[in-house]
Amino acid sequence: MNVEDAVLVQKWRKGDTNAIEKLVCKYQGRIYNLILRICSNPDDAAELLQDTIVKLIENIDKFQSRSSFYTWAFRIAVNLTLNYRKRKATVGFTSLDAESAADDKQARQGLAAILSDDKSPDPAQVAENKELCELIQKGIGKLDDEHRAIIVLRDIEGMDYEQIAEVLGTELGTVKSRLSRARAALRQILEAL
Amino acid sequence: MNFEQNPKIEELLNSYIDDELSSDERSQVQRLIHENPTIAQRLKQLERCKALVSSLPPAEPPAEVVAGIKQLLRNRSTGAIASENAKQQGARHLFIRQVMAASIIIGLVGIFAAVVYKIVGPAETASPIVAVQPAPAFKPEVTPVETKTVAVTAAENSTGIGIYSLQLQTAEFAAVDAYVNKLLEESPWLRYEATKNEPGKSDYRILCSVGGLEAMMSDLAPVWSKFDSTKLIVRTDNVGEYVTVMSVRPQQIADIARQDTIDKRIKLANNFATINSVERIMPDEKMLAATERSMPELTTIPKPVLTSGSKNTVTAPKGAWDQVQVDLNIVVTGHK
Repeated sequence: MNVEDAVLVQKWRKGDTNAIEKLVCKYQGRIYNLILRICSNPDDAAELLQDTIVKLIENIDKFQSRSSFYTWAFRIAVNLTLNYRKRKATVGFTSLDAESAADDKQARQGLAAILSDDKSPDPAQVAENKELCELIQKGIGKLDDEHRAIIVLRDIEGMDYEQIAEVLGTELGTVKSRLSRARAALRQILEAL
Repeated sequence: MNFEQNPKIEELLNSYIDDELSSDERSQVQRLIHENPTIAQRLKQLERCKALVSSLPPAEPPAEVVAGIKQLLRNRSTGAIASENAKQQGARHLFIRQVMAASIIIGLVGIFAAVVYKIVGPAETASPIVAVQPAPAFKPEVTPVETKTVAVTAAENSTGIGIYSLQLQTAEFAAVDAYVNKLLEESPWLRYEATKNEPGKSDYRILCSVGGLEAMMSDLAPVWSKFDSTKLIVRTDNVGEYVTVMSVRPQQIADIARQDTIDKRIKLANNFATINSVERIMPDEKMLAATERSMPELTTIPKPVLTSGSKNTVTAPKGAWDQVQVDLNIVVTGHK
């Protein structure tokens, strides 16, 4: 466990409000990014971020330091987001943002070039190309929830397999196989865009 | 090579690009890549796909959301302090609240017990006791048992057990009163006083045994149909409280007198009162059917028709000379 996080958690438990703020400020951006990439809707992501923070505050006493605060917080965020998506799917809503992402011809051509090119794409160039980013997000949005979550945790959040297993509550072997299937599926989706 | 049919190779390649392999595994994969261009091509595809997703710029939460979270944290800390204060205050008042709650519960239990006693208590007469289950398709409106405080006469207060007042009203006062007079004169086991202070009204106080009363009721049965109104008033344990049985019949009076305790007499009187009130609004055959189904021990005697004003029975019926247990006041009145 991250030593700095562990100290802050201890202080938090003793009622140090500064410790709470430090921990929340440290992770709220990354948690928001994770939620947004999974749910593809900024409004939903903002609400789910607040829900996550509330859950963290409410359950800090239940947090056992066997895992890191980081994976514990992300586990709460992922669970809330996936549960929210399940409820939304039950009542028949779909993410408009995923469907209304840019359908720019140039972006699609750019994406096809990157996928067929031998060289890896330049991250800076991709980040600058808003339409291309929206197209990629659209592709992620077409994955099923399990694949979407694992792609985001690995390729966007940069977690290692062990951390992903902790966050998703699965075995390491499951993480390997699921991630492999998720990437294959994403490539097919992106190629079809 | 179809990688979908070789998921293990695909997993190895993914683990390779994610740097999740041991050094031995890594060496093996590198050898595979070097030897097999299809695998090398697939590796590049996976790397590009990963790089694309990883290139997405991180999204920052909106400023208002961050501000909202800060406010949430501040409220939380304020709330935590308030919560501590509330805990201390709560502990202080907990005992008082518990005592108050206990008092309320005890009070409610007391009220409940009183209500239950009022309903099922032996001397209770106010609650309507429906002794008859009507036929399923027929739901009559049952007239509540008429229980009221009546003026207690000297005669009613004079004797210990079995005090009744029987009030009879008839359009044929002269004939019926003559019949009653003759009946009493010819029944030596009955002690009685007759008072006739006003025309059209006779007041009889009768002291007799239960057997004597049964015999008298049997003798009154032939003229019973001549009464437009018959009302029996039975005293309860509570001073000044009575059960009134409207449309009472001779057999019912005998049945009530035969009960060995006041409780049983009152209960039976209540039952008769209910039955009779139902009967007044119910066809005879339905009433009989209902009565026989629900209370087979209660029977309805037929009403004989008065054929003669004379009565010659002088033989003492069974039990007529037993100890006096009944103090009955019979009031026969004619129509004014």
